[in-house]
Amino acid sequence: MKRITLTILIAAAAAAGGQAATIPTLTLLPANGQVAGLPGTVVGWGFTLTFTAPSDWVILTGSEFTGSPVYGTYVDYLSLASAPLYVAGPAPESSTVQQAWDSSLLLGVGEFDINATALLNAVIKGNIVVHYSVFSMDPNDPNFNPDTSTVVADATLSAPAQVTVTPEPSSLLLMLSAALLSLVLTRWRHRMARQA
Amino acid sequence: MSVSYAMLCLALFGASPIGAQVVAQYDFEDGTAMGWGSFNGASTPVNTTAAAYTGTHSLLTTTGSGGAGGPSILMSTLLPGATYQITGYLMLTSGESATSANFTMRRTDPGCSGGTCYDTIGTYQVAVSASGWAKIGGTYTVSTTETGLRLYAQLVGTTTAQSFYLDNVVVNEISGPPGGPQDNSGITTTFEDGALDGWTSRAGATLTNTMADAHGGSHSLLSTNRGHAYDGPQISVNNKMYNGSTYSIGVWVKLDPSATQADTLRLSLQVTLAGTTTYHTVVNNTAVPLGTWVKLSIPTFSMAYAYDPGQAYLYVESNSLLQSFYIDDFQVTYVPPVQIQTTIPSIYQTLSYYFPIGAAVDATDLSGPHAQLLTKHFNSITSGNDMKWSSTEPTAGTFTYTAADAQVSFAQTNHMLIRGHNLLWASGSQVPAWVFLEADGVTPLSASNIADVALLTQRIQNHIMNVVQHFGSKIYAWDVVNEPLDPSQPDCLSRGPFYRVLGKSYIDIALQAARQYAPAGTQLFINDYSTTDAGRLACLVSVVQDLQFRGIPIDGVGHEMHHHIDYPSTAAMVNAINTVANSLPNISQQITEMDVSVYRAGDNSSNYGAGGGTVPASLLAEQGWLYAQYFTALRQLKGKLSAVTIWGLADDNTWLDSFPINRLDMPLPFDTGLQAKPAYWGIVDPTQLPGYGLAFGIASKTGAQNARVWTFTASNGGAGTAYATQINGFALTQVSGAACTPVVTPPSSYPVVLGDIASGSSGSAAFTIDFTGCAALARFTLNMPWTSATYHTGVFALGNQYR
Repeated sequence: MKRITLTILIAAAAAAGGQAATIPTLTLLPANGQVAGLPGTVVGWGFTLTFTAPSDWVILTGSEFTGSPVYGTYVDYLSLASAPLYVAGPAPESSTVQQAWDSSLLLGVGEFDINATALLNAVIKGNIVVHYSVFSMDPNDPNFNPDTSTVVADATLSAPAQVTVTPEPSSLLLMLSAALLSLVLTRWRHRMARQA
Repeated sequence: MSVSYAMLCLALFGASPIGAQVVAQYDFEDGTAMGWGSFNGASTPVNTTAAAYTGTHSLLTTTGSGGAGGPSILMSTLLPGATYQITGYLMLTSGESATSANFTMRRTDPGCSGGTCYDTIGTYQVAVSASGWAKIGGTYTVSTTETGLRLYAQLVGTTTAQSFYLDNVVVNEISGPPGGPQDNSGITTTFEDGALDGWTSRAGATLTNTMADAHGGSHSLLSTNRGHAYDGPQISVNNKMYNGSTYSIGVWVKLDPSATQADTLRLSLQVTLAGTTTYHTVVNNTAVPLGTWVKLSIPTFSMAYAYDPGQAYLYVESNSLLQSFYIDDFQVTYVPPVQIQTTIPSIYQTLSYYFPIGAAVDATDLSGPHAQLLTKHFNSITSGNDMKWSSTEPTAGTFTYTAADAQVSFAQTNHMLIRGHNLLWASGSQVPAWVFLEADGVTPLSASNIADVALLTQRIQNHIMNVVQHFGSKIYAWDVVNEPLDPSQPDCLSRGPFYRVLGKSYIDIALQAARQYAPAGTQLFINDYSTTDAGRLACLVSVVQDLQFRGIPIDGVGHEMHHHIDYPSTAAMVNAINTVANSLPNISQQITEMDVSVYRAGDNSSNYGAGGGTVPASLLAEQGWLYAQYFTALRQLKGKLSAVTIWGLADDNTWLDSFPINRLDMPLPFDTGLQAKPAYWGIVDPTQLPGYGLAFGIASKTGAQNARVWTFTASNGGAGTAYATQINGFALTQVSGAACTPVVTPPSSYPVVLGDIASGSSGSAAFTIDFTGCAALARFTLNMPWTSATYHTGVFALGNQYR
């Protein structure tokens, strides 16, 4: 599957910071950003964060979903008080951090709560916008000082995301049953016609 | 002339007389009946691909059993005095016996015997058969006194039901009304050239170009020595204002210093047709105080008068006084015909998963662009006024359904649901006075007179019987009793004229009569306003429970939902629906009259339209976001609402322009030009609203620990302005490190106003935070609630924030 990498929107922020910043990349999980769920259920996204700058570190701080709000509500995990501190960068950190979506532990980028009354087969298209900060010192270093090591206070990455509202399994079953019945009837008619 | 050019000319003009313009064309290629309906007992016309004169579609109709009737359509756009060529092609269906046919125009006209004429168009009795298409029709000059035209195709001579196809009906205007060719260039007179600019004296008044005063520039036109109230300046609008077209007109007026008192001026129109001169008000009487320029204006004036060549004038006159006055900056601007947007999503199709979406209609919605808008976006109608008692039974025992029938026919033709509104209005509004008088027509009915009680009971029963039986199963739900509630009364019922004679039994009588006489399955509603208010909602539940307890038939309740820009809240609306759903589980619910006034609740004096003004774009955006809140919530109430009806189509026709006072209101999804407003997008797709996509961020964190400055930006990447954007709070919650208490100093008191942020622009605000005592590794979550356009709300939240 082709991986879709988040669009980079940090030029202005980098310029404001007064120095060129290496750009982090963040891939949604699933990589195409497309998730599906029944009305009344919750779907969401994990992520893979990669940052290869030799002497800078990146952390994730928040996220938003820009799609239509009429069929559900987006809940950001990254801005929660319980959100882990995801750091990517040089040793002792790793240049890649991955987090699968876990709705019970509120881990990942965020979740989309599909309304119980959402239109079946509705496709809610938008973007996941992720906020991040870049520092010139590892935030996990005991000597870290944000006053002197903030490179980018806040910048964003954006990637297409899509929620599809799927029919109830009973509806699917009904449709499959109808298709099967139709197939059986057609074959029976053909058989009867040959016998005649 | 080259061959290709000749062919082009042939293509352009060959089908029509030179100079003709097509004003209507029905080829049925869109798969619909294109507004054609049944006439005089014929079947409802249906689109068919069984035969076509050109293309692949035509219209199929079967005459009544006696051979009468056929497909018909209103011809409301034809101009009095103009001449048209009306043609079409007709063919009988296979197996039908050859006969003859023609087009006929049914003309409502006071000059006709009985008020109606039937005009044959072109050749009478054109031979038609099932073996080929026959052309019918011819030229037709519209009477200058007609008040209604309906074109229909009919078979002549047949006495049994016969079916036939109709295709390629074209209406060409081949000559306009008397008066010459239409000139849409408009008129502007500023008097800056020192001349009279075409203005003349009506009846001897002296007109002078003057520099003594001016609205714009340095010149104006002064009228003195006026001998009559109607005497003053006039200007010819010959061919500049054309019958059937629409104009924006304005002129500034000011009293001359010699005037001793405030005056009342108006703008009027004089036309002469066939030697008869008539006078018409264009801009109503307008108060003109001493020493002040006042604009007499009308944004859309529909010119509905034909005139002889050179015989049309606009003029400024006073109501009675003869004081001198100036005029300046006069303008007549042609307003092109309205065209609806055909590529935007249909409201009813967008919401079809949730509920039917209806509109209140009147006669003006059944033809032209209003009809197109109605059928594109709505799949249900409610007659705004034409099914009320005063319309259906204005005098005792005399029932009239002309206007309502037209609406029902239109709805049926276009496969729309029809709500009936209403059989009995508790307050007595739009109920004729005779209903509450004894047979002498003078004595009021009295509760103490048993005969009066019986008479009113009988009148209610008779009215309801006649009306519901007339419409039969065409109407699926009736507002049987309208607005019966009054929370200030111990029994929750208003003391209207029905109640005063019959007590609460009038509701029983009405509902029982409706159940008795309406077809089985017809849903019976009571309908009321402000059901979002706690007291009224409790009364609604109480009254319905009482009806159910006593076995009175009732199927549903209607929540009118006439809202204001600030009231009620979306939560209150949701609460009303949920309360009824929980308390009255077997009762259907509908929103029956929804609109959203741009004025705040209780504001009975403001007028955005004063002085030629209009409703600010920021307020329309706010209204759009409020509609978005409402309809997002209504979607989540799926299963609890069986329909939602909006009280009108577009802002050019709303009851709120005259309630509670005469003023400009814009409460509906489409504007006065029938174009989609933010309110429409709020209903259909909030991502298209102005300011959608507004994004917050932190541009920088600078400064020392005890005076750290966080600068926030709000960037508008959407298509429209993010109006009235503001930050309403700022909270840091520590999630890591030794406990400390940052002290936040906002740039101003809350809300911190960022203002109107144009598309592609941003606003910013700097907050100073004293992190004294906070360790370098202390981390915080940020929560910053914001609003834009009042109802566009969000919280800018970030986690793991270092100082």
